[in-house]
Amino acid sequence: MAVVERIAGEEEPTGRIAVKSTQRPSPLLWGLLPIGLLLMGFFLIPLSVMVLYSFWRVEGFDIVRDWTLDNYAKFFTLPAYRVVLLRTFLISLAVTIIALVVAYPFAYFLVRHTSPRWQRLFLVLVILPFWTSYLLRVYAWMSILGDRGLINQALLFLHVIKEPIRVFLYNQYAVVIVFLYLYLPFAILTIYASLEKFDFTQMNAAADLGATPWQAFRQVLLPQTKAGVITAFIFIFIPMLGEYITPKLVGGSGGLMIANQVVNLFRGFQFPQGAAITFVVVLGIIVFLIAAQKYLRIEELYRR
Amino acid sequence: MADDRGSDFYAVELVGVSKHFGNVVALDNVSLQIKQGEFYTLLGPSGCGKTTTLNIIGGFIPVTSGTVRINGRVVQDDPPYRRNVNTVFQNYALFPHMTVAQNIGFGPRMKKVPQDEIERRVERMLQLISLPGFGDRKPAQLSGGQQQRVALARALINEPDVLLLDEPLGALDLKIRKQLQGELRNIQRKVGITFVYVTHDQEEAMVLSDRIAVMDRGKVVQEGTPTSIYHHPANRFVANFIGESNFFNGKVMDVAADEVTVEVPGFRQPIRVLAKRPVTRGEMVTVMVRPECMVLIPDPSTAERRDLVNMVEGVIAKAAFLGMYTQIVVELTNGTTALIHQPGGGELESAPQSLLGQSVTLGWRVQDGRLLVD
Ligand SMILES: Nc1ncnc2c1ncn2[C@@H]1O[C@H](COP(=O)(O)OP(=O)(O)OP(=O)(O)O)[C@@H](O)[C@H]1O
Ligand SMILES: [Mg+2]
Repeated sequence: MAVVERIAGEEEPTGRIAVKSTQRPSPLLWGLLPIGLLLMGFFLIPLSVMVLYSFWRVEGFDIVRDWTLDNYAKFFTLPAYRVVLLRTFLISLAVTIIALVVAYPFAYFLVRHTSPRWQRLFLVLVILPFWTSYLLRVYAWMSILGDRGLINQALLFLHVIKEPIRVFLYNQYAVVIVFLYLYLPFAILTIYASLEKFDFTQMNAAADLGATPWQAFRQVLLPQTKAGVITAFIFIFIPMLGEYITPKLVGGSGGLMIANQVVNLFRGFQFPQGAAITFVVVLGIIVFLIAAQKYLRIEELYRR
Repeated sequence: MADDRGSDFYAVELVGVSKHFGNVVALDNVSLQIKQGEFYTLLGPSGCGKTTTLNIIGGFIPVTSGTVRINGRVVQDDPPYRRNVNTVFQNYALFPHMTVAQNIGFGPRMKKVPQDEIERRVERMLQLISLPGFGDRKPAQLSGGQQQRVALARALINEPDVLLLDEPLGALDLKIRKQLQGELRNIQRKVGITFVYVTHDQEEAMVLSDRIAVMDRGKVVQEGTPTSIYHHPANRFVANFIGESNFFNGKVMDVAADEVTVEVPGFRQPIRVLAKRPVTRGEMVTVMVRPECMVLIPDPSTAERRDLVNMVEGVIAKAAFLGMYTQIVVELTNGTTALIHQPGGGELESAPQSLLGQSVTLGWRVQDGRLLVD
C-alpha cells in the first residue's frame, strides 16, 4: 500500500507521467530489456520450475508428477527441519544485529572524530577483504580457529592449555564469528553513507534544547540515519538466509543452516522436498521485503 | 551570593576566558558582562571568535581557561542541557524529519512537559512569530525567513535565561533581513529575555543592540552602546569597522589641559583635538574624523566663527549624490584623501560633477576629532 501512496504522491504535482503514457515507449524501457532477459532466464524460469517440483513427489529415483502438498506438510511437521530453520533465522538475526551494533559506533567515530584523510584510509581497510575470495577468507578463519590454529597455538605457548582444544571451530559460534567478519563491511559502509550526510549541528541543537545525549540519539540522529541501518539489515540478513559454504566449512553438524539442508536433499535426489523448503524461504524473504520496503530507500542513501 | 539568580547578577559574565584550538588562539583573555534583559551584540570580522564565544556560553565547547557565569552561577563545566540557555544556530539546525510544531515543542518534550501544555505553548509561539497554522508543515516547506522564525520559536519556548543567536539573518537577502531585524527587536522587548547576538554586519549591530562588543582576532577591543562606540572608537580598527572614518597620522606637538595639538606632515596648520587620553609630546598618534563632521568651507575667513578651527586644503577628486547626502572625496595636500558627507540639497545636489577639480578647504571642530593611539 505504501508503494501506491508514494507513486500517487509523486504523480500528482506534475502530471508528467500521464502525458508520457500517450507517447511512444520511453527509451528507459529499452534500457530495462537486458536485465529483464537476464532475470527471466536465470531467475524467474528456474524459480518457476522449482515451484513446480515442490508440488511433485519422488519414487525411488523418479519424479512422479502427482500434485501433492506432502513436501510442505513434512517441512512444517518434522522437528529436524524446524530446528535448522530456527537456527538459520537466529544465526542470521544475531549476526545482523551484532554487525549493526558494532558498525554504528565505528561509522560514527569515523564521521565525527577523524579527518577526511583517515576516513578514506579506514574505509579502504574496511573493503580490503573484498579483494580476496570469499573462500579464502573462510579458510583463513579456519586456520585461526582450528586445532592447530592461531588461537590454540597462542594458548599453548602461554601454557594456558596443555593440548589443543576444539571449542573454537565446528559449532554455531564459529559460524557467527566468521559471518560477522564477512558481513561487517556492508554494515559499516551503508551506515557510514547515511551518517556522512547528517548535519551534526542538529545534535548541538538537540543538546541545547535540553536533550540528553541518549535522547538526542534516539530522537534526532537515529530517525535520520534509519535508512542506512535498515538497508544494512537487509543487505546482511537476507543473503545470510541462503548461506551455504561457511556453515559447511566451520559449522560442524551443530552449525548447519537451511541451505546446507537443501543441498543435502538435492544430493539425496529429494528434489521436491528441497524445492519446497527453498520456496518457503523465498516466500518469507519476499514478505519481509514488502514489509520493509517502506523504509528501504537505497536511492536516498546515495543521494547528493 | 545568597540568591542564585535575579537582577543582582549579570545574565552572562566571562572572566578572562581563553580558547585554544591546537595552536590557534581563538579567544584571548576575553571578559564580558552582559546585563539582564539586554540585547547584546558580538560584532567583528570573520574568524575573530564570535561563534567560539557563543559556543562557550552555550556549553558546546570547553574553555581553555577562565570563568563563565550565567546568572551568577559558574557553568563552564556544565553540559549544554544543564544550562538554561538556548541557541538559534547559524544555519538554523531545524530537525528536518519533524514538523514545525514538533520542532518548536522539542525542548518541552525533552523535559517531559505534559502533551496538552506543549500544544498550548507551541500555539502561542506560532502566534508570536506570526506563523499560525504552519504547525503541520515540514521545515523544507518553509522559506528561509520562516525557518529562521521557527528556529527562534524553538529556542524561546523554553523561556531561557539567555538566548544566543549566531548570525541568524546571515543567510537571508537584504529585504527580509531588514524586516526580521525589526521583528527580532520587537520579540526581544516583548519576552524580555537577554539576547546575545552575533553578526559581522555593523549596521545590523547598530540597529538592534543595547550594547555591542567589538571583537578582533580573539579579543574584545571595545564594549559599549552603539552611539558611544561610534563616537568614541577605542582604536583605529573599531573606527574603521564601524562607520567610515578619516585618519590623519602625526606627531604630538603640544599637550595642554584639555587639548592636544598634532602636527601632520604636509598640512599647513596643525590639528587640534580634545585630550581624551594621555599622550606625551613627540608621540606618534592618529586623529580620526567622521566624514559627516567635516564640512566644505566656501570662505575660510569666516570659518573661525563657526568653530571650524581645524582646516586642511585639497582638490575634489570625486563627488556622488547618494540621496541622504553627497559623498565627496578630496585629495589633500599631504597626498592622502579625505571622505566627507555633506547633507544633500542646494547646488551640491543639482550638479555634484561640476565640483570636480575645485580647490577647497575642509574644516571640523576640535570636539569632532578623536585621538587614537594605535
Ligand atoms: N574546531 C576548531 N578547530 C580549529 N580552529 C577553530 C575551530 N573553531 C574555530 N576555529 C578557529 O578559531 C577562530 C575563531 O573562529 P570562530 O568560528 O569563532 O569565528 P567567527 O568570528 O564566528 O567567524 P565567522 O564570522 O566567519 O563565523 C578562527 O580562526 C577559526 O579558524
Ligand atoms: Mg561564526
